[in-house]
Amino acid sequence: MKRVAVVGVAQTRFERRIVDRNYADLIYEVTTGALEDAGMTIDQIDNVITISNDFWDGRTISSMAITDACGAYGKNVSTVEGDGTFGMLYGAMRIWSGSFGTTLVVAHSKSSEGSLPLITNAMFDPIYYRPLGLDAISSAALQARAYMDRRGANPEDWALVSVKNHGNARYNPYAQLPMDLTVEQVMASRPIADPLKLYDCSPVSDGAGAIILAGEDWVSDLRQKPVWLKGVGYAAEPHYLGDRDLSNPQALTQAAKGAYEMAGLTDPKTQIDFFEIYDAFSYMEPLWLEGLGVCPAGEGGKLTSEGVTKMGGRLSVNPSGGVLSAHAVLVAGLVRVIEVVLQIRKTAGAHQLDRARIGLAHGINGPCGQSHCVWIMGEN
Amino acid sequence: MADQWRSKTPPLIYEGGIHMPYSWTVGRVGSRFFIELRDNGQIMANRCSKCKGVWVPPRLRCPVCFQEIGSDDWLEVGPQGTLRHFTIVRYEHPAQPLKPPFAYGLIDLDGTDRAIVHLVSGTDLNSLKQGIRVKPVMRSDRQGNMLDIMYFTPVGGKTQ
Repeated sequence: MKRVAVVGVAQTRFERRIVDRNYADLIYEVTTGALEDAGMTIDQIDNVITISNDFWDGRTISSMAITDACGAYGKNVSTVEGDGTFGMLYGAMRIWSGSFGTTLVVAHSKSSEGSLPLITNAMFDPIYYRPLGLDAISSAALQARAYMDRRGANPEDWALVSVKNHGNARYNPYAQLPMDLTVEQVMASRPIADPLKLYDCSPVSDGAGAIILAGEDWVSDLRQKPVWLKGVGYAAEPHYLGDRDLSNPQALTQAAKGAYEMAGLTDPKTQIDFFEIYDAFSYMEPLWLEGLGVCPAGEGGKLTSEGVTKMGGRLSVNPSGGVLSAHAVLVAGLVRVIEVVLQIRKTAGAHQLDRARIGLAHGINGPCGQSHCVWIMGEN
Repeated sequence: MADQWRSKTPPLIYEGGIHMPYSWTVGRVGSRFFIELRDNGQIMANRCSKCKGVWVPPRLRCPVCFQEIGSDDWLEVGPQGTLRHFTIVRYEHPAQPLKPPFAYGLIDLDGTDRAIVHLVSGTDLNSLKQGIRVKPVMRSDRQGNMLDIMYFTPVGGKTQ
């Protein structure tokens, strides 16, 4: 199987509401940005994976509206309706299969244009769950409670995650919410759905991201040092929340196992230098760390309180500020990938880590992390 | 500068929306579930003959064993159950059937292995605790849908 690398990346600055550019403008911005970064022209891209969601865009077949903006004329373009990490999986498989040489993967989201509670209410089946009014936040609150009830998780540890990640965002020019917070401020912030408070929740964000993947036969001619895809894993859990143990992210454990095996990692917690994971809510960071197997069940919070996950800690987690600091839905997982690439290239700027040879990027899709995708990337 | 028009042009916002009616088929399994709920006020589940898992709402196929669940493998469950986990919702949006604050619960109905999600109300929400017993409060004019159960409320609990 041909080796595949990320050879170009671009992201917009994420904002609560971008009114001077429409979604096509954002896609054009990151497509040209990723080409410029890679030192490629659009003619050298032989297929495109777009990542979009019809409800967020407010139209059907939303991917077909953006072929102009991502330079897809005359090429095959296919779409993933889900997180960017899954779009990257599709894009990488097209090269691994030998069918294509270079893939542009581009994700956009203008979350501010629709209604978050109504759109995320619509992710639930229309017969059994949707009439109850459940949405992304209330379902996550049930998971947060399950994490407390079954694994003894402590909301003060989650508050520290929020403090850490918003603090890290101060060094990331693309992040939306750089903040100096204290645990007391997070704990005293407005109750949203117990146990979640305002600063436990990620913001509504507009923005886009793009990456260019290329097979090994391409990389020597390009501008950037390639960042290699070393391993990937993915798995999904049932749709109905009641069929799942929300405190046990089994799909993540399975996805991580697949990614570690493919990358040849035998002891991920010592072999992976840093993590960019999908903390849509503060409690998710420690819960996902448990699912990733870097600590025992119930001890994810301790990693934060003991400083292990801080920038430059033994396991740096979300040095970019994470999803808590910018959450363009669908784009956010691809941003985790972009951040891992920037770190491994040593071009992350003010939030550059000293040790960043092997990184993990993680994305989720569906309520409460119903499905997970885990990428291991490295400098060689 | 050629691009000066950009900073001078105010960005317009176009207000729109989509109203899209649907007529969703419920399926025979779901229809039987809702007809029992509507006509008899009973909550039905079905049991996989292979793994013995009891599913509510009932399924055409066992999601674990991926084999069909027979029509004889139906059983009444609940109506009482145990509150597995809950959250008190304090923000409002138009799709919510109750006005906040109200709670959602993952409820283990008696006789089942998997939880259902439903509303929890009709009580002092601050008195909710993991593991308490809850019972459904049924609508009198039931239509054959999830909201035939108005909400679950603590057994023996006081009304708000």
